[in-house]
Amino acid sequence: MHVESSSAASERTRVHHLALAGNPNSGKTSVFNRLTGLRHRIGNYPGVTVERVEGTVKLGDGAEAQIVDLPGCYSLYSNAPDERIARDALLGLLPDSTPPDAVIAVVDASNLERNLYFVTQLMETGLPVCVALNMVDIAERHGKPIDAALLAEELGVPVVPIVARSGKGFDELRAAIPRAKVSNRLWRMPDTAENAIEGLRAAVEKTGMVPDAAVEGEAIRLACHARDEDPYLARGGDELRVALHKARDMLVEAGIDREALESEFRYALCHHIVERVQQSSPEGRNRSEAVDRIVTHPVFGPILYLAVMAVMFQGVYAWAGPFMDGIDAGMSWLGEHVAEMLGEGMLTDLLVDGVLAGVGGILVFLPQICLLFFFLSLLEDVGYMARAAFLADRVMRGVGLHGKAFIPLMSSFACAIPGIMATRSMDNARDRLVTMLIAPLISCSARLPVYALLIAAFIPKGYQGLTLLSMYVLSVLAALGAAWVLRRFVVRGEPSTFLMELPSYKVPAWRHVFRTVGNRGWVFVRQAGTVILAISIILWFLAAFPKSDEIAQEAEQRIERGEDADVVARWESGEQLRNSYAGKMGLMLEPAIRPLGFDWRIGVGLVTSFAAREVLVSTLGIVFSVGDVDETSVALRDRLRAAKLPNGAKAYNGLVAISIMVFFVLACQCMATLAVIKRETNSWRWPIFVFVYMTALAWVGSFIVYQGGLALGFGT
Amino acid sequence: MTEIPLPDGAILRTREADHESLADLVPGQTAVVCCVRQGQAKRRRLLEMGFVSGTELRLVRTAPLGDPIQVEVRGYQLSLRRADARGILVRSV
Amino acid sequence: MAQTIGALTILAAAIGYLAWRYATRRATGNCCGEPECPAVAQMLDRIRQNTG
Repeated sequence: MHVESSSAASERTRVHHLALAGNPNSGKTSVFNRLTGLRHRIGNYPGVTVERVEGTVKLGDGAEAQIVDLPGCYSLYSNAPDERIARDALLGLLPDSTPPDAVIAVVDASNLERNLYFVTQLMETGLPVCVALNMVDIAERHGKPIDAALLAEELGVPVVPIVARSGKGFDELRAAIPRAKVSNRLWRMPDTAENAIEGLRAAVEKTGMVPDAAVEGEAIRLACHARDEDPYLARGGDELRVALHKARDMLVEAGIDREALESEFRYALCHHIVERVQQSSPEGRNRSEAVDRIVTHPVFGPILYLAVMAVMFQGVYAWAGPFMDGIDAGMSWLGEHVAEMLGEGMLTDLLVDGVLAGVGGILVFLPQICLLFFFLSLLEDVGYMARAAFLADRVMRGVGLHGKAFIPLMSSFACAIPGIMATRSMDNARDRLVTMLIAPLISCSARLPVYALLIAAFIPKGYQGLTLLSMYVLSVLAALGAAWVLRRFVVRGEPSTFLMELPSYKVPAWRHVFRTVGNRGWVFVRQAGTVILAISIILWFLAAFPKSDEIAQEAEQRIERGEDADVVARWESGEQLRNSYAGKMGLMLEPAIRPLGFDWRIGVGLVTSFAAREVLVSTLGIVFSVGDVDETSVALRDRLRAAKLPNGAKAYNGLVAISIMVFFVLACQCMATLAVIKRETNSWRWPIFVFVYMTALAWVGSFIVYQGGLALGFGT
Repeated sequence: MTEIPLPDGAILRTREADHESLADLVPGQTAVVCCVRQGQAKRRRLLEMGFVSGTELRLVRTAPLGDPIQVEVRGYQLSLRRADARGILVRSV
Repeated sequence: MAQTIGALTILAAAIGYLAWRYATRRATGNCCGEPECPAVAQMLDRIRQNTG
């Protein structure tokens, strides 16, 4: 319901349902997000794992419309699942959805010819179309500005220049949508071909399978591209098949290559249009090209990649330092205050040795988490990731991974779960499975506090960044190795194509980058304040009880016999800890982990870190707080360093630290990840397999590191 | 004269000299697409991406181990595997 | 005495909270993967952006 302007002679489309379509990488998602704000939801198309994204958008005249973001397509007539869904949605052939009243075609201005290919196909569906010409700023920067008005004339539909990243042009876009127009086919094939299609056109119309306006497009599609198993052929019946074969015979007689027919003529049209509406600078080369010369250089490319990674990791360490000290100081101040206010008693102990030690121990790593995500987000935003995929493809293929696995695996550096879900974009089932099975090996952000703590406690300053980088490198090597092994164990599938567009570099959208960092930081804090808090509380109780009277009596006797009070106190708390529930758990595990250099305290940590890897840090915090008599330093890393065995020798050193880290690199300790794997593979077999193989790998890895290190003379 | 069979029994006739493939080009070299010789699905995809007869393209670079390769076609950058590039026959200019 | 009661109440609350999380199938551990995790939603958004 909108008000018809009586003065304007323009035709207006009554818009209730909109579809948003365009090439991948055209910025379609940004356009959708800007149009709908926060008012959108994600679901699924029935029967396939293609996502269905819908929202509400306010139009220029105040009316509201439902808008669906269709999967990105290079061509409407291809057989890929994404593109088939898009076509069905546009023609109103999906079971439970309404056909759109109009289509907004998002076009990447810096890539006009190929984008127009798709737009002309959209126009042939007979639906009203409005073109959103996105990324005009990039086109200008490349010296190839576009005359939007002229383009609108050529196409016969409204064209609105926009820059989705900055929000420019959106008012005009909202106003233009009701003015979307239907346009006719803009290209003609040679007469022989047109004649061949004529008969088919009539047959398609007779079947009534598609709206009348889309009949021509459908006829061309069937003639040029349809395979025998095409669902429309089945539905159309024998008459349609006969007409199709007749049309194809005519094409062969005329010596026409039917597969190339549509593409050739369509691109000829697009080329013609582009020549008319877009200037091309004689220079041709643009900034992206210059940057790429270095980034993807055979020698410099990989070196640059390693350098970027090294900077990232060293930075995460060095620059987070002062903030971390600040949080540490805050925690100890808080601890003192609480003790003062509440006096002695169980509650105080719980709060100081349980809550603060546990949650505080993990919160201290917030700055590092934020820095890590800042870098990852920045690299992705700028467009570096595509180049990294290009460099990595050969290596990935060497172990049997598909090129499309790159993005899911990169995502796993943040958290394996979105990474595993991202494998939905992989069409080959075998490739997808292998990728899912190795994603947990990629060092996720939850492992970072574990590495950070151990490195800070036991690795000399100069080598800290390097050690951290090594852990990540190890995880990548492990993932690649596992992929290779799995590829032989899981029967080989066909090698698939790897076509990937390399979008131009973009100036980072800082707002987006910081929003990502903020989001991730908040998730981290929320996690600390809920699950980790609850676990810390329970853990404290497990570590503080039962208190044994015999041990207390023994301690008193020792003091009376004249032994040093401090030494006795330390002994007593150590014994009490061993006697507690938590201690008993750890002791049970100890025989299995002694060869790895771990003691029962680490054992307790291994058990608890199953809830969440970061809980190891909290656990150690509590275990060392409850058993700690020496309160000169609150920082966990100092307490770890000072930890002693019952006989007085140091409990841990650099070698043990590395052994623990290697264990964490390789072990699968995330229940949530296993749950997602089960969901995505629909069976228990695979999560169990992942758990078993990773645990075995972790144990063996740690063993080799620790025993090997001992043999080589490291660590006393 | 070489004959390349197409679906439905049509035949594409091309001259000997045209039988260089995209994979044979050197970085920086420009060429014009003659035809695409691939399995149906791959062929279709390549055509849709712009590798139609008569299209001008430029081999920009190859990845460190020679695979994949980066091609500039119709104004944008595309990366594809050497094996697939071998099926794209071109005429160098 | 008050301290002990306080501590035990908190313990009960902690156990109750984890039990509730488990019962509502939010998995003991990270919220990752569940629909309400904003980071996952954002990551998926990103991936959508890069693959179309």
